[in-house]
Amino acid sequence: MNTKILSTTFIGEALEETVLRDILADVPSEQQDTVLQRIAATIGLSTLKYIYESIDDTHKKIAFLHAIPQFLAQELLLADLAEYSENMPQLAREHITRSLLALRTKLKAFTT
Amino acid sequence: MPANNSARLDFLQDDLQQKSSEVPLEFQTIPELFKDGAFVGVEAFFGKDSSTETVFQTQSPTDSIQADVSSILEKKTKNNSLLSQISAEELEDVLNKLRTVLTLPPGQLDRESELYLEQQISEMLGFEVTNILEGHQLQYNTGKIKALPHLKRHPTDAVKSHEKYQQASMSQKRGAFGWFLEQGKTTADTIQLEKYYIALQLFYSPEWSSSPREIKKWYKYRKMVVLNPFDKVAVVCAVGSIGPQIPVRYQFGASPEVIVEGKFWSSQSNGRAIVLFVDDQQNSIPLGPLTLGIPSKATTS
Repeated sequence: MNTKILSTTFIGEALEETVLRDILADVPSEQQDTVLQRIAATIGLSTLKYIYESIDDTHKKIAFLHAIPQFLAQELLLADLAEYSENMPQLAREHITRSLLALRTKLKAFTT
Repeated sequence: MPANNSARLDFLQDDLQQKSSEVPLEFQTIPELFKDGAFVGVEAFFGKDSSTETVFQTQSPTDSIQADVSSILEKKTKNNSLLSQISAEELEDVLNKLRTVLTLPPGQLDRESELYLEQQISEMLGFEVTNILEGHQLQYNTGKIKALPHLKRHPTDAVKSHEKYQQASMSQKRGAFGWFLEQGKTTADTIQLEKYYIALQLFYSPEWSSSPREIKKWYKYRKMVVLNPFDKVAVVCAVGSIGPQIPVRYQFGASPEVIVEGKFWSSQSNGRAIVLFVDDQQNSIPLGPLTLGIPSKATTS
């Protein structure tokens, strides 16, 4: 598995490697990077949306919008989400796990 | 490339495009994610690292728009049947998982099952369900549900005034949360609350001993969903009482309507149920039975 792809996304720190390996086991090696990128991007986008919608305070919402480029550039980590609410890092991690498990179910259907 | 790999990549690309169309409008102000109102694609997450660009062969939404219209339509038709197929298999997987969980002794779902099932059931039902809501968690998620009688909605209520299942009789006492009245009157809403009530064993909850009044207030008419995966039925109900008193045999109780319409009487279900909170802050989800079927989003997309 190209772990560098995971290390270049802010969600990489929460993606369960065992589940990813399970997904990629059915994918030819030359396609694994592309699949991995699309998974990371899909979950990344839905996680940003989830975090944004979970922040109640309007000022903090705006601050988060401004911080998104920093998350994309890996200058901020999931732990930095505590700035918006105390349990946000945990909620984000749970969301990422949920999304990955759901994707695994959907992608398993292509294995015949 | 084998067909299933191509389909897998197409599915992921479609999923990404769908997610990009669902993000809040405010996200369009972020140049790293959106350019000229269009989502930039996977580049948004990997563009900063040049080492990944060589393996990156994604078709961006802009490219899709420029592609030949007929090929897009053809691809869409293929994906529709593919998504329906996935949804049907996924649904069966989820139902099997739920059935397996119910073969175990009453208790809590394990963490991975909980996260997985919450997400899958929410997609299936079209609204958010959760095991923990505002820091509150049930002592049991899985267990047996007891058929309880109708509850008195007001002091002079009689079983004959209840629309259905009069043979279930009526409780001699009112429910633990009082009469089902709104400003002293019976309304359509209060009738529905009694009709689809669930009783939870709040007395045995660990948080009950520390703050019973707050707990009782919080749970009053709280919306829950009771799932019967054996007969593919779910019932959205409201917490209308506390009980049953003996926790060993039954972990939940419910109105005759919930038991009959949720088919908890069936030999397959044998009263076994999964109970989760419904996150309905807008109070927009009606009480009543639902079919556990293929998510409408997936079948129509």
